[in-house]
Amino acid sequence: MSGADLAVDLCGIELAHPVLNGSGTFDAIAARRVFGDALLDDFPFSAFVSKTITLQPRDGNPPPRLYETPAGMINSIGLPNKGVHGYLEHDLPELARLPVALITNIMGSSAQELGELAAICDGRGEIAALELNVSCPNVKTGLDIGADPRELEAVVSHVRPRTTKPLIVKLTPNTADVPACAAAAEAGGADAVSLINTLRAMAWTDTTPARPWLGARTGGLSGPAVRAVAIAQVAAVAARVSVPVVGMGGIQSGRHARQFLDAGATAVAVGTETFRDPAAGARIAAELGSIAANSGLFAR
Amino acid sequence: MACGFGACFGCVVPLAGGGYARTCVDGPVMDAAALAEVPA
Repeated sequence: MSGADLAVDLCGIELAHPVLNGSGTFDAIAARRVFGDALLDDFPFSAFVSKTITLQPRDGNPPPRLYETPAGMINSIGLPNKGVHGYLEHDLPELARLPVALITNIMGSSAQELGELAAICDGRGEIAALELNVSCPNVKTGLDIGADPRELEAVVSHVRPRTTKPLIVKLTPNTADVPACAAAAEAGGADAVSLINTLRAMAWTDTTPARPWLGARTGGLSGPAVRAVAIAQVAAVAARVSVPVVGMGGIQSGRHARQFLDAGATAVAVGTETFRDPAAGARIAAELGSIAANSGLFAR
Repeated sequence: MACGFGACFGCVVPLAGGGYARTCVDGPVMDAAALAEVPA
Protein backbone atom coordinates (compact mmCIF):
# COMPACT_ATOMS: atom_id res chain seq x y z
CA MET A 1 0.00 0.00 0.00
CA SER A 2 1.24 3.51 -0.69
CA GLY A 3 2.37 5.95 1.96
CA ALA A 4 -0.81 7.42 3.39
CA ASP A 5 -2.01 6.20 6.79
CA LEU A 6 -5.49 4.83 6.20
CA ALA A 7 -6.09 3.47 9.71
CA VAL A 8 -9.55 4.03 11.13
CA ASP A 9 -11.28 3.23 14.40
CA LEU A 10 -14.66 1.55 13.93
CA CYS A 11 -16.43 1.58 17.31
CA GLY A 12 -13.27 0.52 19.10
CA ILE A 13 -11.95 -1.87 16.44
CA GLU A 14 -8.66 -0.67 14.98
CA LEU A 15 -8.69 -1.16 11.21
CA ALA A 16 -5.50 -0.87 9.12
CA HIS A 17 -7.61 0.60 6.31
CA PRO A 18 -11.32 1.28 5.85
CA VAL A 19 -12.18 -1.57 3.43
CA LEU A 20 -14.25 -4.49 4.79
CA ASN A 21 -16.18 -7.21 2.97
CA GLY A 22 -19.95 -7.15 2.78
CA SER A 23 -21.54 -9.99 4.76
CA GLY A 24 -22.11 -13.11 2.69
CA THR A 25 -20.02 -12.05 -0.28
CA PHE A 26 -16.65 -13.47 0.74
CA ASP A 27 -16.10 -16.87 2.32
CA ALA A 28 -12.69 -16.74 3.98
CA ILE A 29 -12.65 -20.50 4.57
CA ALA A 30 -13.48 -21.35 0.93
CA ALA A 31 -11.03 -18.70 -0.26
CA ARG A 32 -8.25 -20.12 1.89
CA ARG A 33 -8.90 -23.57 0.44
CA VAL A 34 -8.45 -22.14 -3.06
CA PHE A 35 -5.78 -19.49 -2.57
CA GLY A 36 -3.85 -21.14 0.29
CA ASP A 37 -1.97 -19.42 3.07
CA ALA A 38 -1.14 -16.51 0.75
CA LEU A 39 -4.61 -15.32 1.71
CA LEU A 40 -3.51 -14.99 5.33
CA ASP A 41 -0.34 -13.07 4.40
CA ASP A 42 -2.19 -10.51 2.32
CA PHE A 43 -5.79 -10.62 3.49
CA PRO A 44 -7.87 -8.36 1.22
CA PHE A 45 -9.97 -6.77 3.98
CA SER A 46 -9.15 -4.93 7.22
CA ALA A 47 -11.78 -6.94 9.11
CA PHE A 48 -13.75 -9.99 8.11
CA VAL A 49 -17.56 -9.93 8.22
CA SER A 50 -19.05 -13.43 8.36
CA LYS A 51 -22.03 -14.71 6.44
CA THR A 52 -25.30 -14.33 8.29
CA ILE A 53 -25.59 -16.86 11.13
CA THR A 54 -28.99 -17.97 12.45
CA LEU A 55 -29.99 -20.00 15.51
CA GLN A 56 -30.93 -23.09 13.48
CA PRO A 57 -29.08 -24.40 10.40
CA ARG A 58 -30.52 -23.32 7.04
CA ASP A 59 -30.21 -24.99 3.61
CA GLY A 60 -30.91 -21.76 1.73
CA ASN A 61 -33.40 -21.07 -1.06
CA PRO A 62 -34.32 -23.32 -4.00
CA PRO A 63 -32.36 -22.52 -7.19
CA PRO A 64 -32.01 -20.61 -9.43
CA ARG A 65 -30.43 -18.23 -6.95
CA LEU A 66 -28.78 -15.67 -9.23
CA TYR A 67 -29.84 -13.40 -12.08
CA GLU A 68 -27.61 -10.95 -13.94
CA THR A 69 -28.87 -7.42 -14.56
CA PRO A 70 -27.32 -4.46 -16.35
CA ALA A 71 -24.37 -3.52 -14.06
CA GLY A 72 -25.49 -5.80 -11.27
CA MET A 73 -27.00 -9.02 -10.06
CA ILE A 74 -30.01 -10.25 -8.13
CA ASN A 75 -29.38 -12.94 -5.54
CA SER A 76 -31.72 -15.03 -3.46
CA ILE A 77 -29.22 -17.33 -1.74
CA GLY A 78 -31.35 -17.55 1.39
CA LEU A 79 -28.64 -17.39 4.06
CA PRO A 80 -27.49 -21.04 4.13
CA ASN A 81 -25.45 -21.63 7.29
CA LYS A 82 -24.65 -24.27 9.89
CA GLY A 83 -26.58 -22.54 12.67
CA VAL A 84 -24.84 -20.70 15.47
CA HIS A 85 -23.60 -23.81 17.27
CA GLY A 86 -22.17 -25.29 14.05
CA TYR A 87 -20.59 -21.92 13.29
CA LEU A 88 -18.94 -21.62 16.71
CA GLU A 89 -17.70 -25.22 16.65
CA HIS A 90 -16.54 -25.59 13.03
CA ASP A 91 -16.01 -22.16 11.47
CA LEU A 92 -14.86 -19.95 14.33
CA PRO A 93 -11.55 -21.78 14.96
CA GLU A 94 -10.64 -21.29 11.26
CA LEU A 95 -11.84 -17.69 11.14
CA ALA A 96 -9.86 -16.91 14.31
CA ARG A 97 -6.68 -17.63 12.34
CA LEU A 98 -7.34 -14.73 9.97
CA PRO A 99 -4.97 -11.80 10.54
CA VAL A 100 -7.87 -9.34 10.96
CA ALA A 101 -10.72 -8.73 13.40
CA LEU A 102 -13.82 -10.89 13.00
CA ILE A 103 -17.30 -9.37 12.83
CA THR A 104 -20.06 -11.97 13.08
CA ASN A 105 -23.33 -11.20 11.29
CA ILE A 106 -26.44 -12.61 13.00
CA MET A 107 -30.11 -12.71 12.06
CA GLY A 108 -33.28 -13.72 13.85
CA SER A 109 -36.98 -13.36 13.12
CA SER A 110 -37.65 -11.74 16.50
CA ALA A 111 -35.91 -9.66 19.14
CA GLN A 112 -35.74 -12.77 21.32
CA GLU A 113 -33.92 -14.79 18.66
CA LEU A 114 -31.43 -12.00 17.99
CA GLY A 115 -30.90 -11.52 21.73
CA GLU A 116 -30.25 -15.23 22.18
CA LEU A 117 -27.74 -15.22 19.32
CA ALA A 118 -25.96 -12.19 20.76
CA ALA A 119 -25.75 -13.83 24.18
CA ILE A 120 -24.39 -17.09 22.70
CA CYS A 121 -21.69 -15.17 20.79
CA ASP A 122 -20.85 -12.88 23.70
CA GLY A 123 -18.52 -15.33 25.45
CA ARG A 124 -16.35 -15.91 22.39
CA GLY A 125 -13.28 -13.70 22.44
CA GLU A 126 -12.52 -14.48 18.79
CA ILE A 127 -15.49 -12.28 17.81
CA ALA A 128 -14.67 -8.55 17.82
CA ALA A 129 -18.16 -7.25 17.04
CA LEU A 130 -21.66 -8.32 16.02
CA GLU A 131 -23.51 -7.09 12.97
CA LEU A 132 -27.31 -7.43 13.19
CA ASN A 133 -29.04 -8.38 9.96
CA VAL A 134 -32.49 -6.86 10.43
CA SER A 135 -33.67 -7.55 6.88
CA CYS A 136 -35.68 -10.51 8.11
CA PRO A 137 -39.48 -10.58 8.07
CA ASN A 138 -41.18 -10.45 11.44
CA VAL A 139 -43.04 -13.76 11.66
CA LYS A 140 -46.20 -11.96 12.85
CA THR A 141 -46.36 -8.88 10.63
CA GLY A 142 -44.43 -10.09 7.56
CA LEU A 143 -42.62 -6.74 7.48
CA ASP A 144 -38.84 -6.62 7.75
CA ILE A 145 -37.79 -5.99 11.36
CA GLY A 146 -35.50 -3.20 10.19
CA ALA A 147 -38.13 -1.46 8.05
CA ASP A 148 -40.05 0.07 10.95
CA PRO A 149 -38.17 2.51 13.20
CA ARG A 150 -40.17 1.65 16.34
CA GLU A 151 -39.73 -2.10 15.93
CA LEU A 152 -36.04 -1.66 15.09
CA GLU A 153 -35.41 0.41 18.21
CA ALA A 154 -37.19 -2.21 20.32
CA VAL A 155 -35.11 -5.02 18.77
CA VAL A 156 -31.78 -3.24 19.22
CA SER A 157 -32.73 -2.26 22.80
CA HIS A 158 -33.46 -5.93 23.52
CA VAL A 159 -30.13 -7.14 22.10
CA ARG A 160 -27.97 -4.35 23.56
CA PRO A 161 -27.75 -5.56 27.20
CA ARG A 162 -27.14 -9.17 26.10
CA THR A 163 -23.64 -8.57 24.75
CA THR A 164 -20.65 -6.41 25.61
CA LYS A 165 -19.46 -6.49 22.00
CA PRO A 166 -19.92 -3.52 19.68
CA LEU A 167 -23.22 -3.77 17.77
CA ILE A 168 -23.35 -2.76 14.13
CA VAL A 169 -26.88 -2.61 12.72
CA LYS A 170 -27.09 -3.45 9.00
CA LEU A 171 -29.93 -1.28 7.78
CA THR A 172 -32.38 -2.29 5.08
CA PRO A 173 -32.78 0.08 2.12
CA ASN A 174 -36.26 -1.30 1.44
CA THR A 175 -38.16 1.17 3.60
CA ALA A 176 -39.59 4.66 3.36
CA ASP A 177 -37.28 6.50 5.76
CA VAL A 178 -33.80 4.98 6.13
CA PRO A 179 -32.37 7.85 8.24
CA ALA A 180 -35.27 7.40 10.70
CA CYS A 181 -34.35 3.70 10.98
CA ALA A 182 -30.69 4.63 11.51
CA ALA A 183 -31.70 7.05 14.29
CA ALA A 184 -33.85 4.30 15.83
CA ALA A 185 -30.91 1.88 15.78
CA GLU A 186 -28.73 4.51 17.44
CA ALA A 187 -31.39 5.20 20.09
CA GLY A 188 -31.58 1.46 20.77
CA GLY A 189 -27.87 1.34 21.50
CA ALA A 190 -26.16 0.57 18.16
CA ASP A 191 -22.45 1.41 18.10
CA ALA A 192 -22.47 1.76 14.31
CA VAL A 193 -24.77 1.28 11.33
CA SER A 194 -23.95 -0.31 7.97
CA LEU A 195 -25.75 0.18 4.66
CA ILE A 196 -27.00 -0.54 2.11
CA ASN A 197 -28.23 -4.10 2.07
CA THR A 198 -29.54 -5.25 -1.32
CA LEU A 199 -32.55 -3.61 -2.96
CA ARG A 200 -35.55 -5.94 -3.29
CA ALA A 201 -35.73 -7.02 -6.91
CA MET A 202 -37.34 -9.52 -9.27
CA ALA A 203 -36.90 -10.92 -12.79
CA TRP A 204 -39.21 -13.05 -14.98
CA THR A 205 -38.34 -15.72 -17.50
CA ASP A 206 -39.02 -15.23 -21.22
CA THR A 207 -40.89 -18.56 -21.34
CA THR A 208 -44.62 -19.13 -21.90
CA PRO A 209 -46.02 -19.26 -19.36
CA ALA A 210 -43.59 -16.86 -17.74
CA ARG A 211 -42.49 -17.50 -14.18
CA PRO A 212 -40.25 -15.72 -11.68
CA TRP A 213 -36.62 -16.45 -12.60
CA LEU A 214 -35.48 -16.97 -9.02
CA GLY A 215 -36.55 -20.01 -7.03
CA ALA A 216 -37.55 -17.75 -4.16
CA ARG A 217 -39.37 -15.37 -6.59
CA THR A 218 -37.69 -12.20 -5.31
CA GLY A 219 -34.10 -11.41 -4.39
CA GLY A 220 -31.77 -8.50 -3.73
CA LEU A 221 -30.08 -6.27 -6.31
CA SER A 222 -26.40 -5.41 -5.81
CA GLY A 223 -23.43 -4.21 -7.81
CA PRO A 224 -22.66 -0.94 -9.61
CA ALA A 225 -26.37 -0.59 -10.46
CA VAL A 226 -27.14 0.36 -6.83
CA ARG A 227 -24.13 2.60 -6.12
CA ALA A 228 -25.78 6.00 -6.61
CA VAL A 229 -28.72 4.93 -4.43
CA ALA A 230 -26.30 3.70 -1.77
CA ILE A 231 -24.32 6.94 -1.69
CA ALA A 232 -27.52 8.97 -1.27
CA GLN A 233 -28.66 6.76 1.63
CA VAL A 234 -25.21 6.83 3.28
CA ALA A 235 -25.10 10.65 3.05
CA ALA A 236 -28.60 10.96 4.54
CA VAL A 237 -27.83 8.53 7.38
CA ALA A 238 -24.43 10.05 8.18
CA ALA A 239 -26.10 13.46 8.47
CA ARG A 240 -28.66 12.04 10.91
CA VAL A 241 -26.67 9.88 13.37
CA SER A 242 -23.49 10.40 15.37
CA VAL A 243 -22.37 6.74 15.37
CA PRO A 244 -19.97 5.60 12.61
CA VAL A 245 -21.41 4.51 9.28
CA VAL A 246 -20.11 1.62 7.17
CA GLY A 247 -21.05 2.40 3.57
CA MET A 248 -21.45 -0.13 0.79
CA GLY A 249 -23.21 -0.68 -2.50
CA GLY A 250 -21.50 -1.21 -5.84
CA ILE A 251 -17.98 -0.14 -4.80
CA GLN A 252 -15.47 -1.31 -7.42
CA SER A 253 -12.54 1.08 -6.98
CA GLY A 254 -10.75 3.41 -4.59
CA ARG A 255 -12.50 6.28 -6.32
CA HIS A 256 -15.88 4.79 -5.52
CA ALA A 257 -14.81 4.10 -1.92
CA ARG A 258 -13.76 7.71 -1.55
CA GLN A 259 -17.22 8.88 -2.62
CA PHE A 260 -18.73 6.91 0.28
CA LEU A 261 -16.15 8.33 2.71
CA ASP A 262 -16.81 11.85 1.46
CA ALA A 263 -20.55 11.20 1.94
CA GLY A 264 -19.84 10.56 5.62
CA ALA A 265 -18.90 6.88 5.95
CA THR A 266 -16.12 5.91 8.38
CA ALA A 267 -15.45 2.64 6.58
CA VAL A 268 -16.69 0.93 3.42
CA ALA A 269 -17.48 -2.62 2.39
CA VAL A 270 -17.04 -4.41 -0.91
CA GLY A 271 -19.32 -7.25 -1.99
CA THR A 272 -20.33 -7.99 -5.56
CA GLU A 273 -16.98 -6.77 -6.93
CA THR A 274 -15.19 -9.59 -5.08
CA PHE A 275 -17.08 -12.09 -7.26
CA ARG A 276 -15.30 -10.55 -10.25
CA ASP A 277 -11.98 -10.07 -8.44
CA PRO A 278 -11.42 -11.93 -5.14
CA ALA A 279 -8.53 -9.57 -4.31
CA ALA A 280 -10.67 -6.46 -4.88
CA GLY A 281 -10.51 -5.40 -1.22
CA ALA A 282 -6.72 -5.06 -1.26
CA ARG A 283 -6.76 -3.31 -4.64
CA ILE A 284 -9.39 -0.82 -3.51
CA ALA A 285 -7.48 -0.11 -0.28
CA ALA A 286 -4.29 0.50 -2.31
CA GLU A 287 -6.16 2.81 -4.68
CA LEU A 288 -7.57 4.66 -1.68
CA GLY A 289 -3.99 5.01 -0.39
CA SER A 290 -2.92 6.69 -3.63
CA ILE A 291 -5.93 8.99 -3.55
CA ALA A 292 -5.23 9.89 0.08
CA ALA A 293 -1.58 10.66 -0.67
CA ASN A 294 -2.67 13.18 -3.29
CA SER A 295 -5.60 14.77 -1.48
CA GLY A 296 -6.79 15.88 1.91
CA LEU A 297 -8.50 12.53 2.50
CA PHE A 298 -7.24 10.99 5.76
CA ALA A 299 -5.07 14.06 6.45
CA ARG A 300 -4.57 14.25 10.20
CA MET B 1 -22.19 -18.46 -11.23
CA ALA B 2 -20.85 -15.56 -9.19
CA CYS B 3 -17.64 -16.57 -7.42
CA GLY B 4 -16.64 -19.95 -8.87
CA PHE B 5 -14.84 -21.20 -5.75
CA GLY B 6 -17.50 -22.25 -3.30
CA ALA B 7 -18.10 -18.97 -1.52
CA CYS B 8 -21.37 -17.53 -2.83
CA PHE B 9 -23.67 -20.61 -2.91
CA GLY B 10 -25.25 -19.27 -6.08
CA CYS B 11 -24.79 -22.39 -8.27
CA VAL B 12 -26.41 -25.04 -6.09
CA VAL B 13 -28.42 -28.04 -7.28
CA PRO B 14 -30.87 -29.97 -5.04
CA LEU B 15 -29.70 -33.36 -3.72
CA ALA B 16 -31.87 -36.48 -3.62
CA GLY B 17 -31.33 -36.76 0.14
CA GLY B 18 -32.18 -33.10 0.79
CA GLY B 19 -29.98 -30.04 0.90
CA TYR B 20 -27.87 -28.71 -1.94
CA ALA B 21 -24.49 -29.26 -3.63
CA ARG B 22 -22.42 -26.48 -5.17
CA THR B 23 -21.82 -27.07 -8.87
CA CYS B 24 -18.50 -25.21 -8.80
CA VAL B 25 -16.71 -27.17 -6.06
CA ASP B 26 -18.85 -30.31 -5.56
CA GLY B 27 -19.21 -30.75 -9.37
CA PRO B 28 -19.44 -29.92 -12.16
CA VAL B 29 -19.56 -33.72 -12.79
CA MET B 30 -21.81 -35.40 -10.20
CA ASP B 31 -23.30 -38.83 -9.61
CA ALA B 32 -26.76 -38.57 -11.19
CA ALA B 33 -28.23 -40.78 -8.46
CA ALA B 34 -27.22 -38.23 -5.84
CA LEU B 35 -29.23 -35.44 -7.49
CA ALA B 36 -32.90 -34.72 -6.82
CA GLU B 37 -33.46 -34.25 -10.56
CA VAL B 38 -31.32 -34.72 -13.63
CA PRO B 39 -31.66 -32.00 -16.27
CA ALA B 40 -32.84 -33.37 -19.63
